[in-house]
Amino acid sequence: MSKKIIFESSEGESFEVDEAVALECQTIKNMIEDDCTDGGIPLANVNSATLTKVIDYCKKHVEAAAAAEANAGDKDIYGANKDIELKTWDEEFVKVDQPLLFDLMLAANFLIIPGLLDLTCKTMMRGKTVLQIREIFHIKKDYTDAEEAEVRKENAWAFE
Amino acid sequence: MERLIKGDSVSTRRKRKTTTTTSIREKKKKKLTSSSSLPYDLLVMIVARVPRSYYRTLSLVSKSFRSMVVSPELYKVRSLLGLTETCLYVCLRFGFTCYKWYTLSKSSGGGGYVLARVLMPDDDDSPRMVGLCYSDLVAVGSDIYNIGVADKNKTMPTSGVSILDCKTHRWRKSPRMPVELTELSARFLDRKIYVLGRRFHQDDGSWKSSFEVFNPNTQTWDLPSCGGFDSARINFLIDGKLHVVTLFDGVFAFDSKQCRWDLVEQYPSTGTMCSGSFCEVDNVLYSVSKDGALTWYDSDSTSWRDLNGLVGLPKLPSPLGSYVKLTGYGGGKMMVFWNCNLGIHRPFQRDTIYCAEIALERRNGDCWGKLEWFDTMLSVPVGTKFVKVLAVTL
Repeated sequence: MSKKIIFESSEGESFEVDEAVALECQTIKNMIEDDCTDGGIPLANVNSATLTKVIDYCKKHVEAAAAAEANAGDKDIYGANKDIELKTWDEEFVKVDQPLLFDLMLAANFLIIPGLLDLTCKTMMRGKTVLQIREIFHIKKDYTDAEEAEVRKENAWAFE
Repeated sequence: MERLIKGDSVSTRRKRKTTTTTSIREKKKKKLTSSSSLPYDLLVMIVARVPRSYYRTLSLVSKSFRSMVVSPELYKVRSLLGLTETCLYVCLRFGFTCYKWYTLSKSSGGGGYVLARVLMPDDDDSPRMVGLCYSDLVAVGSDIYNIGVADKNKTMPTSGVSILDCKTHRWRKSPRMPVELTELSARFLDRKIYVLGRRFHQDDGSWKSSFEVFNPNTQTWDLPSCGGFDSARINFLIDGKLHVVTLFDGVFAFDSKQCRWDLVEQYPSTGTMCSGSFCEVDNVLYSVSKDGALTWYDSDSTSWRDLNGLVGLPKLPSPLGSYVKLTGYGGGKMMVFWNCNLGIHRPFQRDTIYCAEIALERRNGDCWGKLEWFDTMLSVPVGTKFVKVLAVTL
């Protein structure tokens, strides 16, 4: 029976996970090594919906790593099939609405989960327009119309 | 930033072990949700993952985005994450003195490419024709070195060097060569720029050779004791080694450990001598034959051989003159640029520039090429020449 770690979301909800899963988070790993996880780990800036997803992600990646190790001698010559499966899973995983994706990225950054941070960062701007990017990141347009026209002109494909 | 980068790289183990509960609890006080604005560092992490060809569009978001996409921090993160891309820069000469720069970008629709004009604030440090001589351009990381750039209002010879920062598209000065050169050829190899050239001495009417090596990290020049060749024409790399073709003696390879030139081929011969159109991809030297076919240099048989399996590529112009340019494009690919109209020049006549993408493969001691894509790029006045095509990493 593996050791369990208890997370507490911002709503005060408790989540029990295997230590191996919690170790996917660098921040938690450091805490476990420093032996300060008794009585659960309160995560005041991660809500339950986000935490559920984060745990899903960590579980899947721990399982995938274990499976890859078990099948190490049984790989096809490219050794890539498992990777493809995991990549597909990752892609499905980030098909969420923009606020949740944003929260996932912040959680991955806070908990230091390199893979999840990379995944969410990569997905963040995919297929977005300039207007949508301003909206997502709460950026006010600080160009005057004349300035914007100037930037557009600079960026226009110029053909001779 | 530090933490983010480390946290994102693979080598997170053993780092930040000192994180204590207090620091975590401090952070927890700041409740981050999607309604608060994002820390700049995290924004840099996101933008670093966006392909560079979209940076022009991203600069429309805001002034801070516009400065971020040319900022050194962003390119540092890209390089730490291993997300650098190969970007091709094309320098064209219109008429005799007008130089224009372009980058190859993915076209918005489909799998092709377009040449996008690069505007630069001042063109003083761009290559200029002085008499019949040219400076030479070399790509080093995200910079393009213009070696032998003529000083303003001065004629040959020249020792000037300037650097184009491809992140910001601004030129800056670099330390001058120790010896002025009238004619030169430069290559980048093993983190150093090798310049072979010669200088005409008016007093006794003779050519004096020079071999100069620049270290971009220390920004210092060195004059190797072995010297250069009075009749050096062009230098290139074969099997990752610097070679020089001389006019009269033959082909020499540079032994950097012993600091000496070894004769590898004596004239007359089958001809390692290649045209001005060549490039190195994965240690193989490619060129264009006199009848316009793509060839590769087989160093085992010391001869040029045709590229196998290439179907659908139009006949290339003769490599004499600068009407065709080859360049490596990362991932075992080669890009070929060429002009099409080489007939008699009439005023107001237009010419077309083409580009082709060729995937290369080394198999059973042979080289194979597959045409992935080709199309027209630009319509230009007749007589427009390629100065150089350079692969920059950004």
